[in-house]
Amino acid sequence: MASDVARPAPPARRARGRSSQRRSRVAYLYLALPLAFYSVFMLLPWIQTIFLSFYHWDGIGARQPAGIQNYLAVLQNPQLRTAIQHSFELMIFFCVLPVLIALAMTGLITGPRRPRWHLIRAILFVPQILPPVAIGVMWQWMYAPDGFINQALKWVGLGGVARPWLASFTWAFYAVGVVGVWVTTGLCLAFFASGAQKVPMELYEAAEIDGGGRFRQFLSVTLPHLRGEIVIAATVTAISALSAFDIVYVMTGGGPGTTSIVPGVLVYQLGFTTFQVGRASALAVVLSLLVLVIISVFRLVGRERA
Amino acid sequence: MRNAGRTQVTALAVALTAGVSLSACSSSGSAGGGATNAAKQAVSTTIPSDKVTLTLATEDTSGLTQKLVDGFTKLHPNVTINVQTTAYSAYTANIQLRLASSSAPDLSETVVLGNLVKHNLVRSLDDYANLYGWTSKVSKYALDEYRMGSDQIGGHGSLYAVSAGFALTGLYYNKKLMSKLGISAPPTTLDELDQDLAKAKAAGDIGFEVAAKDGHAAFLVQQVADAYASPDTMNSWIFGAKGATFDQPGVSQGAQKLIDWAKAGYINKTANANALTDSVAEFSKGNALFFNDGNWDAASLQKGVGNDLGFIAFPAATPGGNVNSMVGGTAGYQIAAKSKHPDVAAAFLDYSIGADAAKIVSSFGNLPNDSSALDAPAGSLNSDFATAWQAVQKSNGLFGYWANAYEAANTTLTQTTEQMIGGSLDPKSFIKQVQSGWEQAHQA
Repeated sequence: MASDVARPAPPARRARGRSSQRRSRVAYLYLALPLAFYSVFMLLPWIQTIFLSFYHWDGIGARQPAGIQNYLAVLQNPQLRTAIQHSFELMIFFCVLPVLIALAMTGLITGPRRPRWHLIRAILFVPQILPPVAIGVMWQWMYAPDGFINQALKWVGLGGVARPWLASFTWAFYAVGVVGVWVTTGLCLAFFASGAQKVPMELYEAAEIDGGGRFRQFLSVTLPHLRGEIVIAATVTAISALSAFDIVYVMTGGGPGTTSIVPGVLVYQLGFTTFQVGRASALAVVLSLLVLVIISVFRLVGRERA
Repeated sequence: MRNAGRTQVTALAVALTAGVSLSACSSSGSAGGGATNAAKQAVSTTIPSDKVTLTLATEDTSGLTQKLVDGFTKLHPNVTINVQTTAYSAYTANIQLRLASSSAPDLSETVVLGNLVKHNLVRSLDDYANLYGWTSKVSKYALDEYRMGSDQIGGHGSLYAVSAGFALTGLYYNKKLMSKLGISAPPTTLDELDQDLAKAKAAGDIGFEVAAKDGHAAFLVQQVADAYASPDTMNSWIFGAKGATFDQPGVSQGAQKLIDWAKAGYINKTANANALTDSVAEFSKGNALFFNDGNWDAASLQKGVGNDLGFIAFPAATPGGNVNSMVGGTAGYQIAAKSKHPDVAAAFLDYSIGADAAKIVSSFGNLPNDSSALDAPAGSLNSDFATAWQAVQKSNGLFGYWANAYEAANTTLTQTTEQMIGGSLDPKSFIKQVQSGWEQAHQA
C-alpha cells in the first residue's frame, strides 16, 4: 500500500481516485440498509421517547404538555434510587467479573503452544445467541426448589444450603447476577481471544528467553495488546447491565419486594401497567443519559491508558 | 379469570412485547373520537343473515370463551368469530392500543374499564340491556362490576359489559392431608384455620400454598380483611369512590395475619418466587393443606388432587360470622366503540348469559348467571362451589378484587405482600403504599 501511494504517476493516481470514489459510493449503498433499519427502529423511537417525556400521556388519549414535571417525578421516585443502585451492583456481575474471568481464560489459551479450546469457546459463546427471555426461563427452572442447582447441592451433601433462591430477599438479586456472569463471559472471551491472536509470537518467544513464565508473559505481552478489546467489552457489558430488563423481568419481576428492581423494569411498569407513558419516557431518557456518562468514563479511561 | 392467568409463558410474551420501544406504540395522540355517537344508532336483536366476521380478544386460556363462541356460531352459521387469545399481562398492556387501532376487536374481555371508557373506546350497552332485558337476567352485583359513571367511578352509571358467569375465591383444601392431620372438618373461623395451620406445621406439612410473585398473597390478606370489613365500604374503595380510603376495618388485621403466618412457617418457602401456575402445580402434588384461589383453577387442581379436593368460602372472623369471597365476572366482554357489527356482538353477549351458555360455564367450574343450571351432584367439587356461593350470598360477603382498584394495584400489592412475607414491611406502611397508589391513580 505504502509503495502504491508513493508512486508519482498522475494518470494512475486519477484512476485510483475515481475507482475509490466509486468504491465509496458502493460502500454507502451497503450501509444504506443497516442505516435505514437503525434509523427506523432505534433513532426515531429514541427521538420520539425524548419528545414524549415532556408530555402527560396515557398511551391513547390527547397529550398534555408537562414541561419537566415527568423528570421531577421520576427523580423523586423512591424506587429509582434503589433501581439505579441495583444497576451499578449488576455491573459487577455483567461487566467486572466476566471481564476478569475472560481475561484469566485468555491467559490460559493464548501464547505459543497453548491449547486453543475451540469447543469450550464455542460453548461459552452460546448464551449470546439465545434470546434473553429463554435464558431467564431456563435459569428460573435451574433455581427452582427442586431444580438443578438445589439437586446438585443435595448430591454433594450440601442440602442445608439448598433454598428457593428466587424467593429469597437475600439471594434473589445475586441469583440474577450469576446469570449475568454466565451470559457475558463468553462474549468477553470472544473479544479477548480474537484480540490475542494479533499478538506476534516473537514477543512470547522473547519473553520466554528472558525467563518470563506464563503469568509474566500474559501480564507483559498479552494484556497490553488487549487494551482496546477490554474497553469495548467493558462498554458493551456495562450497557447490558444498566439496561437490563428481560432476564430480570422474567426471573424475578424485580422482586421479591423490590430487591431486584432495575430501571428497565420500572420503565416497563410505568409504561405498561400504569400507562404513564410520559413518565416512562422520562425515566428511559434518564437511563440513556446515565449509560452515556458511564461509557464516556470508560472511553476516557481507555484513552488515557492507550 | 382475572389475575389468574400469569405463567412463565406469559412472561415470555410480555418481555417480547416490552422489547418494542415505548414510543413505537405512540400514534397521533388522539383516539376513539368519532365513535362517541355509536350508542345513538338504532339497535336491534335481529342478526343479519349475510356473512359476518367478528374478532374477539381475550386472555381466557381455559377454553371457556372458545366453547361459548362455538355454541353461538352453531346457532348462527353465517357468523364467524375469530378468537385472539393473549396471555394476561400482555393482554392488559395492549388492549387499549388495540381498541384504539383501526382493527379494534369487536368484542374484548373486560379487565379494567377506566381508560377505555374515558377515551370512548368501548360502547355503552345500556340500549342493548334494555332491549334484551339483561337487568332482569343478571344480578345487580354482577352488572355493577361493569358499570362506570361519567365521573370515572365504577359501580354505577352506564353498563359496558356482561359476563357469562362468575368466579369466586375461597379455600381449596386437601381432604386426605386433613384426615391425616386429624382434622375432622374444614375451618369455619379464622381461629380454627390457625389451629389447622399449626397442626400442619407440627407434622411438617405446608399450611398454605401461596403464589406471591403473581400478587396472590394479596388474596389472603384481602380475604382475612374482608372477614372484618363491610362490603359496601370496601367495594366503593375498589370502584374508586371519592374520598374512599384503604385504611378501613380489617385491612391491618389481614396484613398482620400474612406476616404472622409467614413468620410461623405456615406458608410455602417458595411463595415469593411462585407464579400462580407454580402454586397450582405444587398444590396438585398434594403437598399443602390449603390453597387460596378461585374456581378458575378447579379443573387443573382436580387433575392432581382428584376427589380429595374440597372448597369452602373463606372462614369468618367469629363463630357464625360472615364468610366472604372475592367475586368477579368470568368471561365478561365489552363491545368496541368502533365495531361495525354491534348488533351481532350484543347477540353473542345475550347468548353468553343464556341457558345454553350456562351449561358450558358450569362445565368449566364457573358459576353461571342462572345458578340452577349448575351441575352439582352431592359430594362433587361443583356442589362445594354452590354451597360456598350460597353461604357468601347469605352473608352478604361479595367483594371485588383489590387488584382491580387501579391499574398499578397488582404491582403494588405484589411488592408489598412479598415484603410482608419477608418480614420487612409492617401493616401500616402496607396500607399507606396501597392508598398512595390509589390516590395517584384517581387524581388525574
